Amino acid sequence: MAIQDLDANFIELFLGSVESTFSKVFNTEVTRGQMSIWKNNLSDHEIAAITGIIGEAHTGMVIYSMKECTAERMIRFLDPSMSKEFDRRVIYDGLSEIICILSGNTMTAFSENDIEIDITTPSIVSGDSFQMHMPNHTMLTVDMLSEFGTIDVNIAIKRHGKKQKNKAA
Amino acid sequence: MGKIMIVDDARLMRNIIRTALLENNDYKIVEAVNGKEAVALYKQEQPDIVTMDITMEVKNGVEAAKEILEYDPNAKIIMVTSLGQEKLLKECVEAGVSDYIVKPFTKERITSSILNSLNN
Ligand SMILES: [Mg+2]
Repeated sequence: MAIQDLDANFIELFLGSVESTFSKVFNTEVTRGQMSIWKNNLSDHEIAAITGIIGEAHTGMVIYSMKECTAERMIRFLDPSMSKEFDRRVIYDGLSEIICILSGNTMTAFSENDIEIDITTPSIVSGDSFQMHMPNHTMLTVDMLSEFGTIDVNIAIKRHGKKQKNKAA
Repeated sequence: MGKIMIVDDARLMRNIIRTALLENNDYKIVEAVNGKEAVALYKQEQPDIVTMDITMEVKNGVEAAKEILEYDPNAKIIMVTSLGQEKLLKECVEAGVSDYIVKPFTKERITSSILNSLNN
């Protein structure tokens, strides 16, 4: 799969939804930074939330990766009562919930554009510079810059045979 | 003083809801982390209002809400839902829940929903 196979319309809709939901949840804007082709590792990022995408016309995955302190800042913003002590389980649990909210809003945004997709609940992985290998997938990485730190949105999406419901006729 | 039961598997969400509710009001709060716990705790604590998450392990919020309403048809349950869960939400509304709020919600939205349900 090559770069031209990435579905630009899908990606634009996805990123737009992430941006608008993020600003609703955190009351702050995110700006889009660099876009690049993913190189099989999550650079200096320490934590990632992996979601699968299953749709009528699309399959793929989206990985949100960031530094642990970025995730911690986001969670602390939403829950100032959170203990000062660093607790990894609280970070995993909180990040997972934030991603679920993003995914829910994204599914609805797609549905409003007549594209039906399901997004799986996230799996959280962490560690220093962990590697992931995904054969047959080109993944696009988009940096989202926020006051909490940079969040990479890594998207691999494939369009398959079935036509979209409302455009088939 | 009303008693409120917060049901959510995510600690973050329980904290957000608890903080919002206690900011200007003096409620007694009890918490459950899944639907099974929620049904048991409801019977034990008889809260005035329940806020119920939908997606939870062990037993989800839809089943728990139905069981609570079967046990107590006057139970006041506010579903806390994400977008994309409209089908499940419809099931809850048909089963007789009082209200629903969609994540992300504001403090004002959840406190006014609680006050409405308390006063009805
Ligand atoms: Mg949940």
